Amino acid sequence: MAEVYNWQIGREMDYPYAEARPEKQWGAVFDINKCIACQTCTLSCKTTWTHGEGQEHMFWNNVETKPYGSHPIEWDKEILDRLGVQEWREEDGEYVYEGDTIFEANDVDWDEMAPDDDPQNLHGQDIEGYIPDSEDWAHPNLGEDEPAGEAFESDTHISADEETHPMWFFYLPRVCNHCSFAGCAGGCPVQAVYKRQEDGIVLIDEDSCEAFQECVRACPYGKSVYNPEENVSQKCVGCYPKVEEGLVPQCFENCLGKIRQHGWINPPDEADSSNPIDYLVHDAEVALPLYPQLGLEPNVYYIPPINVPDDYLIQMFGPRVADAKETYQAARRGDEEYRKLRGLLHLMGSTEWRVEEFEVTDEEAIGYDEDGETVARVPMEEPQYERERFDEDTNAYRLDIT
Amino acid sequence: MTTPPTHDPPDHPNEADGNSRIARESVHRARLYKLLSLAFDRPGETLESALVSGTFDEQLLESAAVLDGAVTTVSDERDKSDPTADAHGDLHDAAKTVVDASPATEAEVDEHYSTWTSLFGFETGGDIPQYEIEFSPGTLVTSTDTLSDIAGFYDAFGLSLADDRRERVDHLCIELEFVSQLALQTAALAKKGDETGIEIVTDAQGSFIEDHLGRWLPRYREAIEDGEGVGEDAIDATDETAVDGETAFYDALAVLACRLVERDADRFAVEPDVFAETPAEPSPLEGLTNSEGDVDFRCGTCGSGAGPSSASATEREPESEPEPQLPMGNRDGPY
Repeated sequence: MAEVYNWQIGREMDYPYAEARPEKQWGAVFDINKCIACQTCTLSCKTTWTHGEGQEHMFWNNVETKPYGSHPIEWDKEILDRLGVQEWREEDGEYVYEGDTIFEANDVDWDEMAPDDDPQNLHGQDIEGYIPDSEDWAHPNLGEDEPAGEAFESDTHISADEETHPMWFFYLPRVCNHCSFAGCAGGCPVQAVYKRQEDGIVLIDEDSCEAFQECVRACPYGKSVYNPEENVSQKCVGCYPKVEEGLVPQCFENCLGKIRQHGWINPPDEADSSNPIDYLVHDAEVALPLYPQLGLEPNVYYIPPINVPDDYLIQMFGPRVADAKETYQAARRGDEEYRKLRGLLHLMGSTEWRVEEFEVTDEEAIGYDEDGETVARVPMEEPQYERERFDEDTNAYRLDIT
Repeated sequence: MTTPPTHDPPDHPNEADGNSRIARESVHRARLYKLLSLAFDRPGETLESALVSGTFDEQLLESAAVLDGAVTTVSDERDKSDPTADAHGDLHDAAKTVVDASPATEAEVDEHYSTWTSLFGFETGGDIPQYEIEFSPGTLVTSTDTLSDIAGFYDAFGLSLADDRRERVDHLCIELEFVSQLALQTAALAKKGDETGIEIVTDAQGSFIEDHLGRWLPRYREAIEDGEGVGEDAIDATDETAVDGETAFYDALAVLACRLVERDADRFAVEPDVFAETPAEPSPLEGLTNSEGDVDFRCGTCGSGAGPSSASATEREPESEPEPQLPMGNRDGPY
């Protein structure tokens, strides 16, 4: 029986394959608080990778409004319904997931269901999941901007110290998570899905793919998609040609709101505080995995939206949400203790090069690439100029003086 | 079906023979493509003089006949001794139809010019597009990858548009001329005995026909047939002018082009996936009406009948294999 250690759920779990971590792991942090759903990421990906015949329904990158938006339709509700109510338990300040992951929900004996070279042996058939109907791929914008919560009155006022908003929604940008325990790789009956040793990017080898669509079924995030024209399944490739050159993927580079940081993510015991992703995930613990309870150890981490009630966010990002929100707010307020975090948040998304190391000085946050070359510099305080309220030359008052 | 011919190799099979045959065929293929390109283009002086002098007709028939005689090629040596092979004369037949319909005097050529504009010209609202993308799914904006692919083909073989001819790269005449150029290059390489070179240009012709020309030419032919009434309807039309006769010229040309490309697809063993017919504008209610025609406006989130399907799978006797390894790979692919 293959038991792997998934640090995101604080325990060992079943997985069809033995634990095999790549030399480096493609990782990312998205700051949800800054996303405005302009969909520039979506389009930059679409025009780069999925403009062909048979890919019309594919959005390797999509941005959906939560709680009512989703692509494919209701992907998260579907999988959460299937797993049912599950619990986390706290143990010496660490959280351990007590429920079942998608690999455990059906009590599979992975010794008996071991992957082999026989395509007829659909060893992954009991990984919990479903194949979305073709209609489910057809409405990427359904539910956009639909809010949840209490109705607003015309005189409703949200005070600045209010923790969450009575009516809320937020945008969730999504790409493939290049999971450490990928469902797509775990489910493929012909071992066509593989993880790259050098960067941990998960790819489908189209020459080996036999279109069983087991990866489509086994990816709970709905990020493996069947291409009826080519008769293969396809997914986000992590923009590996750019990543190989030290650049960030298209959807990161083109992000107008600078909400995205790409880099390498290490397991907690190997975390490096000068690595921006490790710092946000392991040191500041401000960025959290998406639906960690599914058990895939996804490698895209989210800074949760501070205006949204905890209960919904805990379901989505796990039990460490409240702490993450608090830390983020402290950094935002300018608390000295979180100065380094604030600097890094300023630095996010400011260069097309992958920042592998960063430092925060008195004046600025600086990002370095693999070779230690400076690739980004951002001031801690944005320079601000103030003009006189009254302009004597034109004998007029200025409305905008800063 | 005749009995399978006995294998009867040429007396002295050697490369030189093969190459001279390739060279000969390629030259005629090049000429046919070039003539088609010329004929589909906006009529000008070159076409006029070729038509009036009869050179156009003469060369078209000659090349078609040569190719008909050499139907069997690289891909199918067996048919060489097949007596029925020579009976295929469909290129020559098509060429004959073109010649019968082709204008021969200056006056006729002048009228021919108005026929061209009424079919393809913007000035008289001719509505048959001569561009590949107009026949493919999607719009120009979403098809820039197609344009760059075509441009890449031209670029790879050192070809570019003449400075004074501004045209989009997916224009029929340019695509035809490109194949013509490659065929010529094939002939030149065959003369030199450059096997690697022949292979490269041969592959390119196959790929270009499979990915481009072969995908839309049949649709283009249909557009000429249906759209501009060269069919039976047009013959009954009261407004009978030279136009009817001359649209027949384009009809025949399109048939010839299709046959040539189809034959080349066989020659290069490629199967172009012809574009689907452009569907009429879909009804806004399409997909929302049930079999009784009642409108059902429930949106996707209400789960109108669309429960997720579960994958069917066959139960199997499991085999045990301790600690299987996650498939890994590197930038060259899976290990």
